[in-house]
Amino acid sequence: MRTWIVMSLVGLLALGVAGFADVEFSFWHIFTEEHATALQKLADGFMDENPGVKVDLVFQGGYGDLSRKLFASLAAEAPPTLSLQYENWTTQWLDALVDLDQYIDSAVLDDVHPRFMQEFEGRLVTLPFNRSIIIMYHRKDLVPEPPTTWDELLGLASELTQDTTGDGEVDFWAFHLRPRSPEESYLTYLEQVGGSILSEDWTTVTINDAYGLEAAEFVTDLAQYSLVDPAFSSGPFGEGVIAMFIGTSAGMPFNQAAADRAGVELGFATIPYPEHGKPASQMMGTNVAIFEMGQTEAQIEAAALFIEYLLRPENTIFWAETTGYLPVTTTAIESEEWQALSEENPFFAAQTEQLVIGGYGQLLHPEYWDMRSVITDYVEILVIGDMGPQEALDALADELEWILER
Amino acid sequence: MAGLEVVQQSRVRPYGAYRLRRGLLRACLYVVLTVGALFMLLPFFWMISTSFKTLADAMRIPPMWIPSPFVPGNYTAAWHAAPFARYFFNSFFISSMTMVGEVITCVFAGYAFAKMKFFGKHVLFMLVLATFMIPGHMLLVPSYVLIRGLGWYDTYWALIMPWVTSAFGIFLMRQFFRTLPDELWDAARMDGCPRLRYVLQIAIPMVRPGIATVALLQFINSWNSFLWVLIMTDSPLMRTIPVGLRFFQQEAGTQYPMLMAASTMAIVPVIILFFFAQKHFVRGFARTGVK
Amino acid sequence: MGRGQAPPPRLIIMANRRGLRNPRALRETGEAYLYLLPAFFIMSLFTFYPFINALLMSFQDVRVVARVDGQLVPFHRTFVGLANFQVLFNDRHFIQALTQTSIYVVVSVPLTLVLALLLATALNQGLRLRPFYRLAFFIPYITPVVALAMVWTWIYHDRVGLLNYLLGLVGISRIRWLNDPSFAIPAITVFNVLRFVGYQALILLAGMQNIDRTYYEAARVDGASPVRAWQHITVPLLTPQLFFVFLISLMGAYRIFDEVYILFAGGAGPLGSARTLVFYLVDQAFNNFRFGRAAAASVVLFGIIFVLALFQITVTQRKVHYDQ
Repeated sequence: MRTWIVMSLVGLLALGVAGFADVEFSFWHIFTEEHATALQKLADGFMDENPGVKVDLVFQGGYGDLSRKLFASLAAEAPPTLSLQYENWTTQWLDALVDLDQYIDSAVLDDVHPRFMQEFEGRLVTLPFNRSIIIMYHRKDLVPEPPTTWDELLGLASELTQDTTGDGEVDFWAFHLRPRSPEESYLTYLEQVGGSILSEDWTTVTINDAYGLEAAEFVTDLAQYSLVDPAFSSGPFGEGVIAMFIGTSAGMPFNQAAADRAGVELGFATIPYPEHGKPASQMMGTNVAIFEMGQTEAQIEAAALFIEYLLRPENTIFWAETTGYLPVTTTAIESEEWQALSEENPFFAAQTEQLVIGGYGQLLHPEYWDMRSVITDYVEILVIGDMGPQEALDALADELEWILER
Repeated sequence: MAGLEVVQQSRVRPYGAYRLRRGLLRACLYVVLTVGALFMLLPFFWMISTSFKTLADAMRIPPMWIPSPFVPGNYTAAWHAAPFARYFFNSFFISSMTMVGEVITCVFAGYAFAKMKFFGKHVLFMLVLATFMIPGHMLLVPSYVLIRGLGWYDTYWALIMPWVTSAFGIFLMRQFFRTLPDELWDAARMDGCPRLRYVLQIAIPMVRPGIATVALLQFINSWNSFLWVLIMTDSPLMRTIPVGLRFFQQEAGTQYPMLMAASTMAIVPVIILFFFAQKHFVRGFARTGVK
Repeated sequence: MGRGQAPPPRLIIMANRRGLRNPRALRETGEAYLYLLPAFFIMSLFTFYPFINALLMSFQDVRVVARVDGQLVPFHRTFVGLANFQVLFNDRHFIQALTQTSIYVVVSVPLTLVLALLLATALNQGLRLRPFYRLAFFIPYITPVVALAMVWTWIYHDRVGLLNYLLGLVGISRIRWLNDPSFAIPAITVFNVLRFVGYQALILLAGMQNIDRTYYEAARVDGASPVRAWQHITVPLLTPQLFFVFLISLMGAYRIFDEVYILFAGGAGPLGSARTLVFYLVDQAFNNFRFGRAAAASVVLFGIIFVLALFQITVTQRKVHYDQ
């Protein structure tokens, strides 16, 4: 009799800590300083709510380091449960990822802002976490009213770009163009006028059509008034040699520091677009995904629960407010709290607006890395002016076709 | 000898002119070498100078050579911004352990290749030399899988064991042992001395400069190793100086003075080591080119 | 061991006893294997085994993971014959990497060697400040390349860089070292020439100090000028060191990566002008996750180094003077 009582008590206890009796799962990330602290806070909050679960946050260095670690860990059958990842990584190990719609409440999924819903070969395997978007930064003293169309920008640029020392060399530029980041020039414009790299079904290359040509001509025009330099824009901005640039909102703290260094006031705006186009802007940053390989069901469930926790309005707002990344759910973006924060902080306002009016994700093709790298080459060629736009685009299209075929 | 000198002097130019020319040449040499040396040291000077500057002074054009104000605080700031004490400990520990291991394996292998006759010697030695030609990056992923399979991932084992031998070390030790006269071993053998005792007590002390060179080169290699540590470790606790520095570079962003302070800290131990050991280097290198 | 010399009598005796049936030779073989065991155990595990693995992969399509019959298979490998090599030699980026690396090797290796030889000669003149010079020229070699390259990215900076400032002082206008396609390889070359010249000079210097003084005295007696003595004594007697240095720097130069990675912030440089073979390899493996292709690239790299080394060794065995 006694034994029975003890046993049922033990059983009840076990049920009490249901499912999550001492589950531990790892989350690989790249955050440092305040960002790391904020993430730790979120993890702590989650662990307080779920006493049996331990979130093991593992800092993995830069994104390059993280990708190498993930790749190797998969090969060795020991990936983390949860990790940040870029879209082009996800395409490489799609098979190893958990379908999130099977673990995450549909109400939670419905609330994720539609701009962020990306499907990989028809599957939902990632959800947004630290997302940013390309916005425009400008010096308030020189550009008090940021241009809204590219034509306006080019008009302004011809006035701003000049030789201030009179030695015959331009030493102040209206714009900073990073030729090795095509999403900050060519690809943005292409999307804005409705062009694309490939046809919808990925069977043909469409980059050298009329839209592509228009984008190429635009880049050559823009280059005339731009400092062409692959370095982060915070460098030249801090030196005070450029007036405007577009770049990821994740770079804001560096750009702010650069502005302070140069002693100028930094302004934020949505990026310009052509009058006949739409205000498209590429979303940057990474998503979270859960690996199936090497995990127990309990670990997967716990990680899914953690994602749900991160997507709660108060948490995504807390994360966005402390780190400068975007809030990722519709409720959060439309909440009074976030609206109030945006009113106080023009940076929040600019990037949230940019997301809502034009956020788009990159091409989710498994060969995208190679495609992007070829596109980058030709954007550089356009900028340097070694080839005419149509000639460059046709050569680019040939190379892209080869990548598609092999 | 005296006769020789007389002949010599009669054939060369008049003594005074020769001396003058020689003196001039030497002066030129000093100038060229000194300018070259200063040029080599310039990046280091700049690094150290910047490590004592404020951020604004660091970005100044024309560059400011002597920091004013002088900001030693960059060092304490850098030291506290990342666990550099741990990085230093790891680097010292790993470098010392690989150094010891390298010396042991290379001494024995080098001795065998230099002084022993055995079946397959030529093939085995070629095999060792062939590893010179394998680009390390080629092995990264297979090695990673292996290290994980051994359960060594993110441990000191992964950072030490693969590096406790090297083709270069074996080759160098072989070169040194070859210089020992065979009669030495013959004599020892006559006295009934087993080979192991001969190697440990007689041969090894005679190749001390070689051991010092192998040890020091291995220490420096380990100290500077970057990609391997990056791939094979996970936790900040396992990081070494170069990897810590790289992370710090990403964390510090454009905080050049702090970055330069950290770089200086990373470089100083190697330079001190070299300073005290440079004689051995020179002696050790004398053997490297000999076939 | 001089080549033309007759072997000492002891060697002849040993040679006669070499048969494996001879118990003493057998014992010696056993003992030698014991001595080699630690080194070979480590090498087999951490060099030969991964190397063979990499060779295999170059003929395989390697997926990070694949689902085979509903099962997740990590590092899934299927044989594809020469497909990886076919892609490589049609890939403009690979060809670019191959050409650029070769150009870099052809320029930097002889340049460094010549400078090192001159430097070693200068250091061999019994100068008073020799320890200082030695230290100054050797420091870049022992410095962690990560730290050194970090300093140099800044030295090479277009606008606030030290180098352009110094060039400006002598009237040379701004060079976009890291941003101009035609200057990427020169920038890497300058960085590495400075990094390696001291190291190579030290090896050569050690060799010079090993040369018997009497040769020079004899030359002086014959009235040879120091330049002629250098030409006809120093350089020929230094050939073992010269070949050794040439070989290691050739192999090292083909493997160039770390410094490029830091100098160009992990990118391939303007118009890919800093794309090297190992950069291509690492990019394909760890950014693009095409490990089969990366392995194929590494096999090509290995092939080049192997052929060069083989060529080198053949030449060395014919021409090098042995003084030991």
